[in-house]
Amino acid sequence: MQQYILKRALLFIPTIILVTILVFALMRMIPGDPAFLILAGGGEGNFTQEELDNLRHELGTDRHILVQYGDWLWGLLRGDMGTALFYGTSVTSELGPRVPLTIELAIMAAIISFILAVPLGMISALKQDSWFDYAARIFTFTGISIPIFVTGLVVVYLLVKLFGWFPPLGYAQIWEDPLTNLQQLIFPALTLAFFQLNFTARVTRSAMLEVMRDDYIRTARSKGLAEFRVVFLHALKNALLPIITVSGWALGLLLGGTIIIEKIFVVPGMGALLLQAITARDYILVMGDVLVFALAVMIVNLAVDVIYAWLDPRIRYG
Amino acid sequence: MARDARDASTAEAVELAAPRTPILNTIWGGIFSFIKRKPLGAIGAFILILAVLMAVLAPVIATFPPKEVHVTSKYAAPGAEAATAGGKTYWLGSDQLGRDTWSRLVYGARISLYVSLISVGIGVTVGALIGVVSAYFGGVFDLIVQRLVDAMMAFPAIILALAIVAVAGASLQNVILALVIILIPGSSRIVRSQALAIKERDFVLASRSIGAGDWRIIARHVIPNCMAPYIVFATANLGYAIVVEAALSFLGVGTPPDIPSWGGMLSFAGQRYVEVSPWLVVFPSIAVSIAVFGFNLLGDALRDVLDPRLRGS
Repeated sequence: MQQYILKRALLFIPTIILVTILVFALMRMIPGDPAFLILAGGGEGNFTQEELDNLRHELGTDRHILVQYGDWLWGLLRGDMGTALFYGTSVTSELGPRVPLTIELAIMAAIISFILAVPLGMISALKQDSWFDYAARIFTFTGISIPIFVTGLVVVYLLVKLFGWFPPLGYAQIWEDPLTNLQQLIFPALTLAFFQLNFTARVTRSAMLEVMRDDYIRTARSKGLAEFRVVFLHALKNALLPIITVSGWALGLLLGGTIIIEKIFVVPGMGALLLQAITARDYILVMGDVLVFALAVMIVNLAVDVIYAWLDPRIRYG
Repeated sequence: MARDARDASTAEAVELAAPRTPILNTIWGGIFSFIKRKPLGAIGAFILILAVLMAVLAPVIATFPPKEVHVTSKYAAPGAEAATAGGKTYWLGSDQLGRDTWSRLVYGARISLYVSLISVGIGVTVGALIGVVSAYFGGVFDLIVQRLVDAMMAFPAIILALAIVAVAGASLQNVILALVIILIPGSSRIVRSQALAIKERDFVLASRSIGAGDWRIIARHVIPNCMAPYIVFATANLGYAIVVEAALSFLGVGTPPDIPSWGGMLSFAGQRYVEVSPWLVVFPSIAVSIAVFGFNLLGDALRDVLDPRLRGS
């Protein structure tokens, strides 16, 4: 097990280096020169060549591209993501309070959807072709076809109409005021969970149907085990493998979905910051923000692999 | 395998021997048997055909020019008459500039379908070719490509698309470019795993032993056998592409606001006018959802038919 985790963690390193290269390359394809954009965007638009050269020197964009990349990477290793061009603050301090909100939103949504989807999919599979099964299948299939921004707009509209909801002026961090924090994030999290819920329920149903046909289920029944034990200890444990694979993959989708939810519910998270940074053409901030998103997905993938190996010895020793 | 080959040649012989008219009958027969076997898939195909008709016939079925502003008829309710333009009816109401929602929806179908078909066509094809070549040649090339795919898959698709459009500028072409880039890794991975299995098959060995070159084997044997996952992945992503395009426009970085698109209609209306005129949100939402629903139904049915291993997953 430890060996497997070690092997998997070592694979993490080349991928993360490639991710930094991709982020850097992407951002430096910006048509136009950041120094020029800052000066031109500053108002009057009249500046001397000397000012431009000075700013280029100050930003370091007059150096060779590889040197700039090396510099950025070295900074990252020391936990320094550079200085945001627009705000003039450090990127880490901009991201600091926002990363927890976004991650919390995604995790809450993942937990909610998992808790609701697995029983839904299980009942659907165990009562195959019953009215419940049909209703659940129609519901989940319709659910995966409704884009997240549509669900979000509907939820906000209902909240406004029914409860006179308005976006909170400030969001509390979970370690400061857990109760307020949960209260503020529950509706965004529920909205975000909706898509994944339908998706996971569909996967759970098909995984359970597949497992229930296996020989060891018949064996478990014929040796007189209570149906409860058959379903939960034998079937569910095996069905969990595909469910977790797909959930991990979908957590990436959830993380991406936070940007839309944050815009609709006015949550000051990483997604909202990314939109601001894009509008301000602050490429240093965009780089940092996108990198944190990618890191989060990679950590989730690593976690899924580890859970997978823990659940299934065939992978550990294979 | 030998039987596969014989079946194929028999089918070919039958097709060659058959007179012309029955071919048409076979097509109709194929369509009818698809409808009978996969009624839901047929509904999906029907929705898709309706959407295509809507897009193609947009100038005919739109009642107003989609960009025509009527300052005296802002936020008209569905069914209300325009104060100008000869008192024409706003079937689905009007927006904050008095533009007709129905006409904008109809023209929006053009954008959604155009972006989705072009980006999936290019992205999934390029990804599939990369996957085939990577699997067939293997070695260092495969290793590098696979690590690159890993790295690209580490980005949440919408975030990557957003960053690309932000860098390249918000235009229709760049939305397509972003979609192409986010579709390549998934497509290459799925087709690669199929191609890995195909290249070990006996018929590949056989054709190599009679002197066929690598590229001939790829073109004649590997690619045709990777068509099923390719088609399944492509159809499954048509709806996804519509959602991503709409999401980018919704976030204000996709299709420029002067072009009527479903996401764009939701973006402006949804943000500020949802309380004044909820129908500004309702109709584009329904349009996107139905289109995606149709594509999903069709994609599921095609997957069942073409790739039985994945049935029901």
